Amino acid sequence: MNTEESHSNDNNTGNGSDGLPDAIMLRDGRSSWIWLVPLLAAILVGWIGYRAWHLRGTVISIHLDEGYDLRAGDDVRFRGIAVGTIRSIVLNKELEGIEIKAALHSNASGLARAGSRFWVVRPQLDVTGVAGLETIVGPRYLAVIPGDGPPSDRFVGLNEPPFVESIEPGDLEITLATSRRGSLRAGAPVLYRQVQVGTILSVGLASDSASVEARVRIHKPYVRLIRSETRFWNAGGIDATFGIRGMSIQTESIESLLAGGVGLATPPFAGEVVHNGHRFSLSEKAEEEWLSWEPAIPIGSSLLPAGATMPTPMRAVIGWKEGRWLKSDRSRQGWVLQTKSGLLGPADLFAPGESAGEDAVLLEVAGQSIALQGDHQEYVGGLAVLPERISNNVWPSADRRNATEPEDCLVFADPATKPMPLAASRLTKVEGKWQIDSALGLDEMWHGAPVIARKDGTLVGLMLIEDESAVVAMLSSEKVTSEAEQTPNED
Amino acid sequence: MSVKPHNKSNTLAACPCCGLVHRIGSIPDGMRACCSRCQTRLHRRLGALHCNRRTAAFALAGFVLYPVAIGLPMIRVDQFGHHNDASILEGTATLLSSGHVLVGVVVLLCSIVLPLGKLLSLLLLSAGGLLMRREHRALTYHIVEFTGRWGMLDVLLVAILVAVLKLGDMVEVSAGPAALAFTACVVLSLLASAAFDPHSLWSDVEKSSASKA
Repeated sequence: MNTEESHSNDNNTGNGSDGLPDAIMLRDGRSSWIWLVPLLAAILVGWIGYRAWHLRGTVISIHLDEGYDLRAGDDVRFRGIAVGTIRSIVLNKELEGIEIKAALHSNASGLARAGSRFWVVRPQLDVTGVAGLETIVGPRYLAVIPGDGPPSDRFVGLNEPPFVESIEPGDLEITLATSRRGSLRAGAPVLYRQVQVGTILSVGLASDSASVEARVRIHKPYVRLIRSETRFWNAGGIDATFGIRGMSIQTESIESLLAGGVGLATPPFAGEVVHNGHRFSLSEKAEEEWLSWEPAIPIGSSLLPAGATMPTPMRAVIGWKEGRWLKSDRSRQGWVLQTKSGLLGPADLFAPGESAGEDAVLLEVAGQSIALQGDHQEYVGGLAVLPERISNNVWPSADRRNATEPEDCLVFADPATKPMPLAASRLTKVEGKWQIDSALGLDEMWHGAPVIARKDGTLVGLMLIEDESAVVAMLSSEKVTSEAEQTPNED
Repeated sequence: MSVKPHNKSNTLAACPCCGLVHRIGSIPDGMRACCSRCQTRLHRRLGALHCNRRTAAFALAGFVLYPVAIGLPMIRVDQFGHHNDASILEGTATLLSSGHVLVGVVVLLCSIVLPLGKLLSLLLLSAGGLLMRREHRALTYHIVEFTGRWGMLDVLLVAILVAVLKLGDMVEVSAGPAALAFTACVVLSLLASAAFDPHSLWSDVEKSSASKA
């Protein structure tokens, strides 16, 4: 400070030979911090650059024959959300198609695999339905079905949307041969009792042009319906007959009337389950006899793994009389399952209440009455087996196991209604049983219903309704009474 | 204690603010020469390269940001779910290739050539200026002065575009990542030219002539 003051004094006095003032000297801040500015700029560049690179995602190229008004900037969508953006669309050099460059978001880079199929979603209207309706007003987009091959960045897109959106492992592919095409067309349904069980993938002439061949995909849950004796017929169109009693019109369903389709029926003696590539002949129309076939073929529930059978529990009612002088009828209801060693069900369905009278105790199962003489085998956990054979629909002994920790299950009760899913999060393990969340509000209707593991389709226990609370009683090999010889695990 | 200059061959300098002419002696370390009337800075330490390091630092920072600013998307337009990103480089190329030559050239000059020229010249003058001949320094400095007025109009353009095109759900315009870099670039280049001290351009010449005398 002294320095400055001394200088300013000098200046004020005009201390110079030519009368000019001297400049004053002030402290000058050291400014080496200034080099932080380029450093910060470099960091900013790095950050912006990284983000831009990160957002760029995986760039793939797709060849298509036809662009259908797709433009750069449109979305690539999968499962209804945008997973990428189309960067550019150019005609290829040979003028025979277009090349699309698309950038997939970094979290969707798993879609860039060999076998992924791309197609342009556009409005399509035909007799089987309307597709791509949102693209009438909105932009077209590129839809994708992921493949399962190794990572790839070059694809050949589909010109038409695929008929079968997802090819599940376990689907069955068969060939139908016929003499005339009739109303067969790709995308048409394959119907069993007018329920769609599959789709026609393609229709074309056989390699020797002697017949027409249709490739058919049967969806996984219905694969067991297709046996070597199965009959197929052309279900499209109308079969009109004029007779003395007027006109009669037959058609499979309105859907197949318009779209053309294939009906199928399987006889009671169905034969073997067929494998991929099996050839069937397609009849012009169904024979009367075929329509009367009603085989019981267990098919898997879509909630269970492929090939798993669904249990068909039977309603059982136990009735007894109570009271010494004034007798009253008492009964209890529940579900029982036919196993090899007998009927598996809640123990309280096979024994009357403690205050039961001396009269005979009757158990009614599927229309049959069984007189109970205490010959059932009771196991730890509240389950019991009654050695009776009521039904031919026997639950296979291989499909059962002892589960310990709660897992995702399905509960089957009334065969006419859907099974109830039981998530592992609803179950808590209490004393060898699984306590079921009371929020599910399970009632008496579920007493004795078989509980099947989602994972492998095996029977893990039965549901018991005890005093307003529901539990899953585990299959156990420990017997309560000693006189029994059989264990449920060897049946 | 006293650093009072006694050398009578000291340089003279007019205050850029109030015009008072001063005699400037040798400036000690950590000091700067200031006008005795209005205390405006007259001169940093003479002859040293670091006298313009502020300018060099700002210009360098701007130069680092520059590729990002023109290469990455500047504005982002969403129209009916149809995205469009536009960077300055792409936009200029599109303008030129689609026949809008006049507009394209203006954009090319104002947003690519002139800002880059200004940053480069400032960097050259502040760091490597001593290698240039005296007339070239003057020319370069005049170029800086001139180009500074014309560059970097784009940020303003984006701001106006965003304000105008807020049409609700139909079209949505938003600034892209390059907008930040571009803004930073503009500010840095302003700071660099503000911090630049044109006296330093000739300081070494004066020093050598002074020592001759």
